[in-house]
Amino acid sequence: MYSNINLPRQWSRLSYIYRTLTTLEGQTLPQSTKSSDGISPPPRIPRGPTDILQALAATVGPDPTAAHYKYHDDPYLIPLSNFRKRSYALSAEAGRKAAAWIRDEHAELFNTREWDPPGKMKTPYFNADPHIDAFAPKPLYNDESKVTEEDLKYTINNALLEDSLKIFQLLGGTSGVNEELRIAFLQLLCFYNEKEPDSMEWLEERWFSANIRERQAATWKLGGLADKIFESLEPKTSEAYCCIIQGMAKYYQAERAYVLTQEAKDNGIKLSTSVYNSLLGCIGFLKEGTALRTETLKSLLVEMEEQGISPNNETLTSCLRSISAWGGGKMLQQLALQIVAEFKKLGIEPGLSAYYYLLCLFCKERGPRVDILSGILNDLEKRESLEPKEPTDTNFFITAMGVCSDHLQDINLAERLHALLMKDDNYKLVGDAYKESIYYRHFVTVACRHAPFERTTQLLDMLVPNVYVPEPTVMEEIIKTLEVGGAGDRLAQVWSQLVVFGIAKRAKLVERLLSAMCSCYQYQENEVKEKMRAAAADVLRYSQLAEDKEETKDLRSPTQKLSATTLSNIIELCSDTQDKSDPNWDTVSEALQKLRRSEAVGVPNKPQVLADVAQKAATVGKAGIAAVAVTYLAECGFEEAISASTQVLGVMLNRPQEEVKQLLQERQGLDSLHPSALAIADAYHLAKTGAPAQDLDTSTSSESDSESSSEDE
Amino acid sequence: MSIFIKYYKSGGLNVAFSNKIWRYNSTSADMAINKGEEEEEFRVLDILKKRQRQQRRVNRRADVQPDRADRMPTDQNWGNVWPGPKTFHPSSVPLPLRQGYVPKGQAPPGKKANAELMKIPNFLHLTPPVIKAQCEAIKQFCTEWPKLLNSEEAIENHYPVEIITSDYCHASPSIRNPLARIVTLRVKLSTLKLDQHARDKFIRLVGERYDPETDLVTITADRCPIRKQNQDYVNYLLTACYHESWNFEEWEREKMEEDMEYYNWDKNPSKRSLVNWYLKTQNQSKELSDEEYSNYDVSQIPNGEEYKVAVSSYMNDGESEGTVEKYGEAVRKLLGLPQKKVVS
Amino acid sequence: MNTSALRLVQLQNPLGNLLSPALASQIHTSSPLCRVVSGKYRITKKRDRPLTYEMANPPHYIAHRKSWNSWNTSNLKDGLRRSETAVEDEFIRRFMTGTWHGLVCSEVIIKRQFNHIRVAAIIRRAVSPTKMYFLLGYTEELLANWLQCPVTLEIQTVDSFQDVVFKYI
Repeated sequence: MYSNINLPRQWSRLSYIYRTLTTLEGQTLPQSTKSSDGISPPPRIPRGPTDILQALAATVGPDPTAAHYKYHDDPYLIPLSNFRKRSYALSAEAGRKAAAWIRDEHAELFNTREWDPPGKMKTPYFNADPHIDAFAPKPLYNDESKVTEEDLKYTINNALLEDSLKIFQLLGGTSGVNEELRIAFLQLLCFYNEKEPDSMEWLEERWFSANIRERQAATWKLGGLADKIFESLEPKTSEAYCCIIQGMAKYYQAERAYVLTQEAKDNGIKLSTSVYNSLLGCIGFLKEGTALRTETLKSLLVEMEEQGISPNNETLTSCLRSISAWGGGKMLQQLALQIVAEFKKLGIEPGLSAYYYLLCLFCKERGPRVDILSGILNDLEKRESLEPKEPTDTNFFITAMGVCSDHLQDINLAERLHALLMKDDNYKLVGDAYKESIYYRHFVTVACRHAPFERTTQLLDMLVPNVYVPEPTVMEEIIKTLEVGGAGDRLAQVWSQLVVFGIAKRAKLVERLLSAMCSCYQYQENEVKEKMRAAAADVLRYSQLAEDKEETKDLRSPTQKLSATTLSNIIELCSDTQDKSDPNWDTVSEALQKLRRSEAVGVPNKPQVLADVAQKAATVGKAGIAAVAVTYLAECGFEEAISASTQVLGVMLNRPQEEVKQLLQERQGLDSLHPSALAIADAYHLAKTGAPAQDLDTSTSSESDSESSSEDE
Repeated sequence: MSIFIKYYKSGGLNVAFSNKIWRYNSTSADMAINKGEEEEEFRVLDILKKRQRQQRRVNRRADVQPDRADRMPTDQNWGNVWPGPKTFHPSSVPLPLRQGYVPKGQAPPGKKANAELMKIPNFLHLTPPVIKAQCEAIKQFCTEWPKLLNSEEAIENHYPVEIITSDYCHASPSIRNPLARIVTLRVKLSTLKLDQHARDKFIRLVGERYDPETDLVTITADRCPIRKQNQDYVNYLLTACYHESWNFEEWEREKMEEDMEYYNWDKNPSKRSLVNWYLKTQNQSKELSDEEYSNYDVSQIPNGEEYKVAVSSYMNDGESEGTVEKYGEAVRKLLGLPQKKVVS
Repeated sequence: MNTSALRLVQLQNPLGNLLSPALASQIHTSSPLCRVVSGKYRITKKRDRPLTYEMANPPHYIAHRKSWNSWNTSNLKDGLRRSETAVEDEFIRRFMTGTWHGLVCSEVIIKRQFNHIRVAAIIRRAVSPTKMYFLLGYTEELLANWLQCPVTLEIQTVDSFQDVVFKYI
């Protein structure tokens, strides 16, 4: 009751104030939230049933440390690599499918139903009120089920293709169903080309299905059920023509579609905009050669105008789609721009798909740099909201980001694009998991190459590892950037990230990482240096484990071995301690062993490193390590071996260089030396003459010497 | 394989049967008989097969990453981390909590693997900043309170009728609750335009739903299944009573003195006795009719008015110290008796 | 409990059989039989039976040292659906123990808010995460279809049963 009503004197304003919520029906849109006369309540702000929930949800922002909410929030159950993300999501979905199957199989057991209003009765589901569709078993149709036209309508409305086929058969095929229903059924068949679409229920499957682009080939089922139904329809209405032509055009059966269009026109049947749109889309299959195709395009547009059919933005999109599929070149670009301008004059704004095709057309990889992206971005930022209207809308963002990264190499545009994606609800336009990873791949690449260092690190912290797990190529970029930025601790972290993401077995990547670590090692603080050393030691251990595993199990692809450069880098890093008992020396000796046993690929590219290491080892007191290093150098035939061996020997024996050189020349009195020194002497001679020193004397002593020296290591 | 030896207890009846000794072959004996070869080593008899099981236990448990709580920055927005009601999870909450009763000296069990912490309802999703933010978000749907309704009196003035209903929340699959249909209507009788007769009739119609102390009429309806129907019914009842109370029925003329809801001194024996007494004092004992009694002007009698007021108030307002005192005074004055002595 | 009855019979019939029908009918009220035995665990000789905190506190400590496992509004005045809720809770508990067989290390905790049922438990990390996700999806979907309400599982994983042991008895 409203106080605005003129009440008779007796009543004197019996207006009510409700202590519960009221509804004011029949009011026009409220002008303001204030009361008009200070007494009556102001008009109610209309709100939908979930508006308050949405308002509350808008207060929740992103949480950087948490994984996507579809994963359970437990440290054991958070996925950290692309493979795991996919596997966990899909296995959860598989569990749901199993439960749905059980519910459908044994529907008679699931009989809890709540009556509304509540009562004592508990009945099977088809009587309960309200009927919750989400929890109801799916109806199954097999040969014995009794079906009516209602069932056919239900399956058509819910796009259950197989079930509708079955019902159609059971109802008696083309003759048993009335005309309306036949047309509806025909539409369903044409849209899906008689193939069952992905169910709406199983989200993860759709998200992770790597969208195999439908081959642009004529896949229409010629002579299939759709054709038969079309034949049987007498008389052929415009609806029937429309749907069959569109179906054929969608699946690239261009010629038949064209023939049917001619037929329709001859019979004077009106065709709709969508028909022309789909025809525009498959011109490429009809004619060859740019000129002919342009001709056909223009003639179709003219036809549309003749028939009085007004174009919509889908028309623009299909034109652009065709044009972009025909290749590049100035002519086509001109044509595309012309078309866009014309449509703008008509008041049709290009949608996201149109922009996508434009980008495809203009920003080819090897073409000249064309900056239409900034214009596009300006236009999109001005719009209030981006609505997805066509399935190809989701391609826009990834292509745009690719353009930013490869073609234009502009970080500002990339930032703007990302801001646009993050605005409001636009994130859904990213498509599925595959597209998301491509998008972020481009984004991270362009950020690594062109953004300031802080921004890059900020971005990496935000994205990795929960939103995006970088692929090996992107990882290389990141390593390069970190090297340039001199962030040692991040590099140390990168190794653990590599292990967790499952790409730690790629030798090249590991090599890159270690060389990056070595190059910026000098400028780090001590703590960071320790971390890097620990990481290096871990690399060696990991490869050891991998090799062991390979021996025990029969893996199909053999693990790549670490390269010698990698090993020498590890050695260099780990040997940077003055402490004799530091476990890193063990790592160094391990690595050296590997080098000697030729378990590493190639040779180190900086043998001076090994020489330095040998010297360091000698100063610290690890004579054995020094000996091995020098021996290795000698065996490989590096020139540094000679100088290295003399220096090291000098340090070990604590004598000046000239004495050492003399000693080595004499080759006598060598027996009294420490076995490691002997080994170094051997190495010296090996390097110089190609044969160990003792070879010229007795052979047994050399054997024993080498044995002892090897034992000493 | 093992050696089984079974004995039958001879309980008297089984004497006829011989004690059977069942024996299965031992490994070594069998092998020796069949193959006759590998007699060098005596194989170990592995009855319980413990060792094989232990080897399989080596699970790669290194897949567990460190707690999320360790990586959380201290200035994060907690509302983003815990947006809704959730069972307590130790690796997502960066607080060092302990719960449990332990004997003196021990530390209570920590937050990991603590079922007690998971059981209790937590309000981590409703910290004060979050509540503030949510209130701000909801404010866009709120309208202003009308300016003139800034006090209770103003509200009662403009909106005299109250309708009281209750909504119930329950943890059940259905939101229906039969108690939600009850509707109560409350209105102050003084706001309704009723004259003496209508008011009396209204009160009689409404019966015990009228509370004389607070002057409120409370009408409750729950006989219909839907709240709206009950609301309509309650409104109907109010309007019906109101209109009925203004109607004058013929049978109302039969209202007797016993039905009167208030005490009218003029029509009661008290006046009669006063008049009679007065007349006696004047030495005029007459028999007056009822009408004359009621029309007799009491102001002639000295202190008569006061007596009338005292008796009326005693009868109407109830018995209390004040009314009794007044009556006493009035009678004394009437009869010319001295006043009560006030002992100070 | 029935000690007075015993004395009485003894006085009257000093040689009588204590298991006469008059007394045998009251044997269930005698102290060894008329006591609370639920929720209490017997001490072992070797003192190596592991007890969780839940098991270590007998039922009279509920609300003093323990908390409830099942939270819903059916206990309030005019609470609805009391029996159905209890039966559903029992179903959920058995279902969880059966589906996550040998993996559940604690009691199953059930909280209901409006029509949202939240089931919480502590699970051992004995199976791989992929299998756990399968069980998660399966349990949630099946329970939701059975109870006709949305169900979410909130589990906490733990390395082994040793982590939930409170004391050894």
